[in-house]
Amino acid sequence: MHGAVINEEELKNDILVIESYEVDEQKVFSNMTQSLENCLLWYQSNSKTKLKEICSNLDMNLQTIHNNRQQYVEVLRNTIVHYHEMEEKVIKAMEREKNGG
Amino acid sequence: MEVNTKELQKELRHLDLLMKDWEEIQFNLYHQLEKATDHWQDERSRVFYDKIHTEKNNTDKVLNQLKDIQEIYQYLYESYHQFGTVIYCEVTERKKVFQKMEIYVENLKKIYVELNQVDTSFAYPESNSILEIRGKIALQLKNLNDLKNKIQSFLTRVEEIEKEVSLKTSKLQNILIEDFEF
Repeated sequence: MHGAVINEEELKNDILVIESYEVDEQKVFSNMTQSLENCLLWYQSNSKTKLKEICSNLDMNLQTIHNNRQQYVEVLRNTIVHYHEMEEKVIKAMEREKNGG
Repeated sequence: MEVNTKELQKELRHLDLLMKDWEEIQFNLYHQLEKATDHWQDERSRVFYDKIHTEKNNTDKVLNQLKDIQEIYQYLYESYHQFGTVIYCEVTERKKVFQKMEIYVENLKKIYVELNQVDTSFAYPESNSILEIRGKIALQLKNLNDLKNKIQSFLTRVEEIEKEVSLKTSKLQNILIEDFEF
């Protein structure tokens, strides 16, 4: 019945792939943060105040992006759980019907 | 102001590779998320699909800002690396440095004038050495003036670069990426 709306196997596979990208991305984010910090270290000047502020904002955004990635996976996982619950409800309802209510 | 152009160059190369990696991961990740909405089709998946697109636009903004930052550092590297690998300069001390150099130049000039007043039109034991010292002082004066001009143009260039960096950074805006809610 639910094959028409979700393809559980494929969706599970999607989740695994997305998670692996998320892990790779987190490594890149961490290296990027470090790299930006190093750049600030190699340039000492009064002109860098705004640059520092922007880098710190960027760092914060990278963290939010990473958290959001985890939310995407959470939504996909919950979708599978949701459809399993629906399936159980339908089976129970059918059983009740079969047993005469 | 202090710039380590050698280290900055190394870091910029590293940052460039990381940005390329991120672009690729981001492309693949959103592609996979779109694929996921093919494997899940209902009202919620359509909302999810739309939100994912908004998210992609937001992360693109961050990536573009990262490119802007990288461009500023690239400008710093290209502007300063012609002066050396480590450049240290107190632009605010400019006036004091030039005052000191000016005093030095004036003192040398006075000595030169004094030596010029010594009569060397006839030969006597010290006349040759006086002429020699006078020539050396004239050379020192020229070298000192050349040095002063070089420092002057270096400091002017540093001020121009720093001004440009301030202008470029002032154009950068803080971005706010909101938490994903579904």
